[in-house]
Amino acid sequence: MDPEVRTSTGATLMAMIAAMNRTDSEHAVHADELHPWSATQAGDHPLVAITLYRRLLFARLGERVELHEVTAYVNDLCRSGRSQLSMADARVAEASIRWSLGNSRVVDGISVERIGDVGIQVLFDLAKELEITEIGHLVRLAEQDAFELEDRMS
Amino acid sequence: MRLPGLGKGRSKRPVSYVSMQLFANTRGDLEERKLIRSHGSLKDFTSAVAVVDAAFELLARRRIQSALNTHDINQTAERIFEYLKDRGVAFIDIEAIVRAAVGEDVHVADIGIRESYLVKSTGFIVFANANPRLSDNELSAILADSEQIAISKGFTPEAGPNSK
Repeated sequence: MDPEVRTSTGATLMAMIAAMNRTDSEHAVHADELHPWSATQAGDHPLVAITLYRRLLFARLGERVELHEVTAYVNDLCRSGRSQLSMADARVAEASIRWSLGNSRVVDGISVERIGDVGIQVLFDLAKELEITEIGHLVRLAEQDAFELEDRMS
Repeated sequence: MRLPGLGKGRSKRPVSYVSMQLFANTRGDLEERKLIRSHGSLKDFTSAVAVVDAAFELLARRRIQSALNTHDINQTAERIFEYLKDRGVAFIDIEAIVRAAVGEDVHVADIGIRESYLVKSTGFIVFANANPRLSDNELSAILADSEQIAISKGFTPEAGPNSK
């Protein structure tokens, strides 16, 4: 565990991102083998998965992202072959991004599991473009965000 | 009630079963719905889909105009979702169908044909009755144009009652 990462959810995410980013075929891990969404939700601070998602999105797309920019990003990701996501996942991927940015309406009619599974795959794809030290930094910021949110909700 | 455009001197009149159904549903005309139902049920679903696709796109482009008009797109999707909330259609699918109709590069190929038909025929009603509400003649002309678009794509919309 990264000594500065304080939550088991943060550590789980770091480990999964590291495993997903391995390029050698012997050690490469597929998301469906990890059941990553349920793994993050079993941790001590499940909100970290969501706040990290937001941090990664802000790093990749900026904080004032427009709807058509989200769509373009998702279409590119799903068409590129770089991701395990296909075009059949595109709308759910878009919904998960917009939901994490504060639009709760867009996930109406989609199961939580489906949003979670696709969303965490987007998270891995966003993390692919970053160095592990940058990811560690973002995980720590995400933990802070989660603690603040938990304080506000309690 | 008879559809406007059926009288003398009207050049644009919808004649297909699905157009008549859409017209009656848009205006909430129970008598007309009864008359259409008495004619039997829709047999050629594929041609009906082609008419509804064209009708929805014509009205979407008339009402929303630009794919960047996210406020109107969202409001339309909300209205359609309200009508269909018990039918198990996801909001994001409805919104994607509206966005695709105004020309945005949104993937909709995996949305089922019946789900798409339901969203578009409901969306047509929402657009037609939105402010400013379309007159009966405007509605009639759009449906007639939609039939022509479907015919130009090789479909033969099924004739409805009073079509001869």
